[in-house]
Amino acid sequence: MIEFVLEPFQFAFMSRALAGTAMIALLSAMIGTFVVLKGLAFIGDAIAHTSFSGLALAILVGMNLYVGALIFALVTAFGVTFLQRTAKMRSDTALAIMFTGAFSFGVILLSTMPNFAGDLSALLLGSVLGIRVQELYWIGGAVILTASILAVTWDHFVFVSFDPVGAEAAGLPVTRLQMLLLGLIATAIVVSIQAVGMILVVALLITPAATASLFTKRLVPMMMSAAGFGLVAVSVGLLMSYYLSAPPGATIVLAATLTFAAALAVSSARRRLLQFG
Amino acid sequence: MNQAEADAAVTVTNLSAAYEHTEALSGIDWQVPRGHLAAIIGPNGGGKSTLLKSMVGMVVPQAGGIRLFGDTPKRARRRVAYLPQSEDVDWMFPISSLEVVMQGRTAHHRLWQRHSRSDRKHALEQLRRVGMEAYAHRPVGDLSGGQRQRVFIARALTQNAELLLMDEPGTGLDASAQHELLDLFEQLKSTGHTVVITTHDLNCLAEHFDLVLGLDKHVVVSGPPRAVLSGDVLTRLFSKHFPVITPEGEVTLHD
Repeated sequence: MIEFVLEPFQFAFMSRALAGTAMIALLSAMIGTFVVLKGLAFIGDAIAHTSFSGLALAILVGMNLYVGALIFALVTAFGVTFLQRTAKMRSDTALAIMFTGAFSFGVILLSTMPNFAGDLSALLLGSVLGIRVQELYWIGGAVILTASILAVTWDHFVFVSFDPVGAEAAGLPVTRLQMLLLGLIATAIVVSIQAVGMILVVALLITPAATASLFTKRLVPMMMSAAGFGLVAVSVGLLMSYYLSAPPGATIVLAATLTFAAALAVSSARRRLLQFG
Repeated sequence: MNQAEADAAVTVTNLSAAYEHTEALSGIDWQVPRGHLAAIIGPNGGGKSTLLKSMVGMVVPQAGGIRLFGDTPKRARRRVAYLPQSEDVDWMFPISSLEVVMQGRTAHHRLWQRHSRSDRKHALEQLRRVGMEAYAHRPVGDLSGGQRQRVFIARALTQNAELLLMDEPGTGLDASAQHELLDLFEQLKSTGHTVVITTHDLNCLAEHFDLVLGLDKHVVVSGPPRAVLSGDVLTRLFSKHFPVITPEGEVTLHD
């Protein structure tokens, strides 16, 4: 059994993949908890889609992929704030128009590069098995940056998330803090795309945090257990990928989903026991 | 600043303001002396919330102005606590009563400052003061409407606010919770606090409030409730919104 678990990680590419996805699990736990609690999943998905065209553009002009994707992600994140204030229609409608348009633009860009067809699936589904050491540094940097920003602004962040109107009345910079949160979401998505790809990136943000929310009504324990569930999902997912020869992005997300389903069963069984026991 | 303004908790002078292009106020004059309980009444869309939001600078006046303790709303900010309508608060957010109460200190803190041990002690004292210390570690979303209001009042006290502005605090409370809230207002008054609320409930006004302001875009009535509230005045204030039975026996709404 131990052999079964440890053997795959004797390969350097597997241990790099584990290091990368483990850091992404930590990052996703910190940010995903807020995404779940504040109902920002759809905005997260929009950011992932526009990041894709950022990646495409970065490939085309030969600039750093993370920088290209991050620029597009941030423009989307801040565009959302602008849309919510000024749009004459529901902001989710406006957002859907914008991000599907941006995504199509990215697809067309990539199709102008004839040699690129092979990598398209890597962008859509992730290519964590090919992750390089330099990319691990980027991810680690994002983890440290996000953790520091959250630690420093924690009390203000919690106040604004719980009671934005009261916080504004108390003189807190509510809009700036909300944009900072969207900026952190954008960063988390951009560095996670490498691992699980554009289509599945939102699952990594949402599923572990949602699983954690089944068990606790306290914010910090929720983040901690989201990290725990995330780490389980990436480890199990990588093993599944190794033994089933399936794309790791998909197996990681599937592992997270199965964890959620099991947790849901456990928590509702526990609730029934408490009621009748 | 003149002496009368400095003595009053709230001075509204010829205020005109609009909020989200719907509620508008024009030519509002009003004064609430320190240590008074005041209620703002009026029909929906009459500008009650807009007036309250103007007092914390969330709505910028188009004309006229507001002074709190003789100062601008922005400069008086730390002496004033605004308690939002229940629907503006995310009750699903995982946070304990004590953590909510400690937010009263956040208003005094820089962005990077964290709550200290003395903040926590101060917050617990205020929870005790409103009779909620037993619920300190409970998620605030699990509390009843009346208990939530108490927690928010404890937050205002933790901020050391002298003026409490409460938007519809009575909404959704049952009769006993409403009475407990009114008792708490009396208690706040006895410690020198000024309380201004907006309300739909006209029953408790005469007994519990020193001042009432009837608002329907402009001031319809203003003064001590016993002196100024009559059936006539209320009909004028709410006339557009009261169903009227015509001689033919039809029920209609006035325009």
